[in-house]
Amino acid sequence: VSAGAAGGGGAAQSLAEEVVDLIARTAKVPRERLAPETDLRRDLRFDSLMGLKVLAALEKRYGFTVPDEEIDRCRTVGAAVALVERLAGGAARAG
Amino acid sequence: MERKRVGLVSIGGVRVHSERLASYGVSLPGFVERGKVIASLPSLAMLTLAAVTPEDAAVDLEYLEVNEADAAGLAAVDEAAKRFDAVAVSSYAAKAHVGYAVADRFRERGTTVFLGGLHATLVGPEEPLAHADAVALGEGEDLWPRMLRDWRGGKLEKVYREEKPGTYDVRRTPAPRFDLLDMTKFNRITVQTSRGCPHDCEFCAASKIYGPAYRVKTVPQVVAEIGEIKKQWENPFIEFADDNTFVRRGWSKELLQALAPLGLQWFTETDISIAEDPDALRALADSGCKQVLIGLESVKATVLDGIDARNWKLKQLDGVREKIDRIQKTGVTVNGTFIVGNDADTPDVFREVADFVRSSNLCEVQVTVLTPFPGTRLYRRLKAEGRLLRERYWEQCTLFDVCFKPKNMSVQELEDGLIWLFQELYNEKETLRRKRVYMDIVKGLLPS
Repeated sequence: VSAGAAGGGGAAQSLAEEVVDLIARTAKVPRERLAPETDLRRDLRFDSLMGLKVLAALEKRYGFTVPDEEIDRCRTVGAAVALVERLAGGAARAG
Repeated sequence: MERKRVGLVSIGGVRVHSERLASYGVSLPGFVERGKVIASLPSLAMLTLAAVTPEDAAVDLEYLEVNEADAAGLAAVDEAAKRFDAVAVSSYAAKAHVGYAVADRFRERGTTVFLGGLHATLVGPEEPLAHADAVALGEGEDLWPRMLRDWRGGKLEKVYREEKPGTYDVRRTPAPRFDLLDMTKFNRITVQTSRGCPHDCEFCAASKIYGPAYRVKTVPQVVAEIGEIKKQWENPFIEFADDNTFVRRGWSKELLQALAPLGLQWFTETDISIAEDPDALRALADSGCKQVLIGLESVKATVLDGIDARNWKLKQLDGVREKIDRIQKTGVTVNGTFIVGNDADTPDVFREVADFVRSSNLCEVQVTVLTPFPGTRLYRRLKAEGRLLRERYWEQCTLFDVCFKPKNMSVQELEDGLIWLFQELYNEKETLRRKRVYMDIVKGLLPS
């Protein structure tokens, strides 16, 4: 995941890499298959439960709660990174 | 012998018949998700026929899916008829009319048609024979090789029946020909580990066709079948096409242990007794199981009384919420299924189901209307009581269309109640609430 795609500078790049690692570990998919534009359902064949499992793992790691109305909106790797950046914010970068 | 080309034609994609139900119910997000999964499953029956096709029949096989007998579907049939000398066609009751239209079209084009499957077996032989050169009544493993050999020998008979229905030894069945599929087109692949269910519920067509004997494949056999799938899809999502997987607990644990190292995600149907066995629950989660579909059927004792031969489901009603929690705490979700329109149901049933689902932690829910599939005990009883709305209504056997006169409400009340219940349970807010329940369970299981 490039820093530009994740939408941040140096610190954000490190956060993006961390999020991608977490997605790869949770879903047991090779890290090299994950790019910002990778669609979790179409490209990785996630079913709805796997998508939720990834979100739960992100919530647990970064200590935020995804608003219910946003649960179905996280459809790509890049969107997951952006979600963490937005909801975890400075805490994640510092952490 | 000159080789012939045979098409294995699956008729899939169950669609709600009632325009009212279609316009209301199927647009709801939670309802659509499961519908998509079911509609995209490959036909295990056809892949199994391919596997038992004898070499001496000298045929080359192709798997084909046709979901509608509309212009596009029939154009696909016309194209296929140019390359097939014969086709085997199988469909569910709700799509029997499509199967027959497809069969008729193939025959018009000069292609020999074999019809079989669950619906043909339950209604046969006269109805399917009007659309086929030969029909198979029963499980296909023994019938299909006989049909093919007879056809190749120029002595095809009209009707092929199992001598002793429900007794085929599934340990003899070879792995389905998964190599005929393009697995990139499917979200899940089906594998069958067992046939039948000991509960013999009045409405169940599977219990009727598979007989009273519960039969299981060997664990190495199941693992070998999954191995065939993994040649194309390294970490597949498997949907076990069983009616009740965990009836034999010793065998079940052996199966779960064997699945654990395979890197699968999987789904199956079982009964709630799995909640009584902590070792099995642990093994279930460790083996990659994501969801078990459990026929809870009703939240009322008066409905469950008599629904199965031994009143087994009635005895499970006590503590059912706690049993659901016990399963889900392992990270395996429960898809609880309910039937409405039972004889003891009044118009209150819709509110009762909605209240139960909201007050339980069920991560998924499926509500269907009582459906008298032909050949079942329910069908015979309702027919004897003069309560079937039409003589032939197979296209309405979608599990969502009302085919009979309910006992304690009108047809209109049942249809209206079903739509109301869909809106209550499958709206966006409720669907997201259930997703949040699952996410919180997962978070609780992750290390801090």
